[in-house]
Amino acid sequence: MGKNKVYIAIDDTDEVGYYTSTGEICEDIREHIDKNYSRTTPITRHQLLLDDRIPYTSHNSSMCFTCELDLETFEQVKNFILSYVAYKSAHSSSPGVCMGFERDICDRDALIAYGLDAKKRVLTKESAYETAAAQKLFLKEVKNKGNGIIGALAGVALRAYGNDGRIKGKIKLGKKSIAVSELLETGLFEEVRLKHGKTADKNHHIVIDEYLKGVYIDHKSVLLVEEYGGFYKPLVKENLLDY
Amino acid sequence: MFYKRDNSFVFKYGKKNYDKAIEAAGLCKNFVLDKDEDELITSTKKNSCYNCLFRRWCSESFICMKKGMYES
Repeated sequence: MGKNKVYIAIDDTDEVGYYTSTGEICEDIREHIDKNYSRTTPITRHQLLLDDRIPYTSHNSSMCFTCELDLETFEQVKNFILSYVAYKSAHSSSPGVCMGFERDICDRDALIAYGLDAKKRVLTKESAYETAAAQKLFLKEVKNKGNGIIGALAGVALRAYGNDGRIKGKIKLGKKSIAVSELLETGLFEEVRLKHGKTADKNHHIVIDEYLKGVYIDHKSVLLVEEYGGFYKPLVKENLLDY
Repeated sequence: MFYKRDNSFVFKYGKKNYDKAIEAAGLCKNFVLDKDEDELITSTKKNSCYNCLFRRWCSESFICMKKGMYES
């Protein structure tokens, strides 16, 4: 078996006031894989249900990215992630890790339904284990109550869905404006769209205030913009909170 | 700025009152900016309760966990 696409997601690694976040731990893991095993894709942040019955720390969001691994390197990466998450996560946190080959997922729609459910309903660890087993995904509680498995599995599910989440990180280009076509040539974004869904005119220029931030739509890294006096302007953070 | 629900202190202006959240942070001696820049949601002034390390988002607003530690 050669290399195949692998989903990796983690959740619930911090506690109130902790010095690092699930997003930053996920970024460390991504960098390790990028350096030692495989090209990786950007991390997506998936917002899950905010409900008092769920013991999240502050956001209840899950982080996911993909890479290309074979069976041997999958095991190596898995062992690294489990030990790294155990080491870096907060003392009282309940981390979970989910990983799996895309080609092993038996029922993609059922997996996506689980992810969408995690945005609307309080789910149990039992249903997470059942769903992961049915879809041949590795799912592991790292320490304490291990509730993070619910969000980790939802992270993989929503990444597979392809229409959820913001892309972690900010892109600074060091210039005040750029043509849509030029931005696409950089490979930093796969598409530029107006906020209501229309594809942006490639000849238009985007006025950059500080940085660019993408969202994940149709399995693509997309920059959302709005009309701004003959130019485009990226949507500000406050307008990306629904992603 | 906050009301008490059970033992939690809930920000009474919801999730989108950016001015009030900045004002509340200005009045708070415990404000700490979240270290994960990706979790900061205010694009203008960063010192906002919406960007504080000690906020816990809930369905309608956020809970101040720092107030919960000392004032419950």
